[in-house]
Amino acid sequence: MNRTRFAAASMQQLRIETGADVVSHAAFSSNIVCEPRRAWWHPIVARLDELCKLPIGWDGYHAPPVLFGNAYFAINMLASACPFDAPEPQIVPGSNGDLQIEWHTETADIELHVRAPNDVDAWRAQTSTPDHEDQLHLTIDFKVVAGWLAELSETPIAARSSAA
Amino acid sequence: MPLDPPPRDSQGEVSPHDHAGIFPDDGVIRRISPQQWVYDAKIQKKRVSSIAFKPSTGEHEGMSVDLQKLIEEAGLDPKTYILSTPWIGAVRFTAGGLRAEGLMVGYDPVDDNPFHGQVWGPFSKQTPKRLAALATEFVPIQERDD
Repeated sequence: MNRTRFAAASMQQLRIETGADVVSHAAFSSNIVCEPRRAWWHPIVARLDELCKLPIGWDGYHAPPVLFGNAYFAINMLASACPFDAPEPQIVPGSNGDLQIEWHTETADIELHVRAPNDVDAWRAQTSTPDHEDQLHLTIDFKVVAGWLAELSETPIAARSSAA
Repeated sequence: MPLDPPPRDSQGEVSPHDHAGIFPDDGVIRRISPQQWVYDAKIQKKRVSSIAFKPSTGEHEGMSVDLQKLIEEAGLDPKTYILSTPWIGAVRFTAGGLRAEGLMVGYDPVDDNPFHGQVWGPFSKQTPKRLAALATEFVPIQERDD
């Protein structure tokens, strides 16, 4: 399912799940119309689609699939926060219909736990500062995450420059 | 020896508790789905995501586990029992190790799993990452190709 179809299908499901108006509910609804593309975009949309279809009990206990509202929010958050050259994230389901978006590179770890739409725990650890971790609760403003990801994207270039 | 029944609230739901019949060296098994595996470039291999060690939401919800001693006392092999669910692997803690993290280890039998337990908080932001580091492999996670 491509992103446009995912977004269209999600509107109806999100209304059912939340009773909310989808357009005003989405933190970055404008990105649905003007969608930036990353090389990894389609695999990520496919992954979210897969996670929304997990069978109940996929974790060996009684976990439900990822809630469509959380997936919808996550994809909009990624569209807003990810620089074009950001590395591909990994998306992991939780036991509550929640999900976590993760990057684990040689220089940093970033985890965005989408507990619900507009309810995100963000965490970052960098190998250059092992005694320090960044930890924030985010709702609608993800500029901090955009900054983290920009640094993550720039690191290999910086490393190459210093090596030269 | 069977565990004493767990405490229940007025609705019949198991209340968070630290069960005295679960001893410090007793094994506490957490099933892990390959869906919760992530690749970590620092170690150049896959590992379990921290989200696998976050509790469920709800008034009495903790982190679901299987109590190894109960499975063994029922005459079953714990690894075979875990593998009865397709694709599922598992990690193992000791009850004492979990309690050292400030957690409670309780008994919460459910219809389809009489050996089910729960680990209750408080879960801090760091707890899932600490549990990920504390866990030891019990049943290898099977990678799916699809």
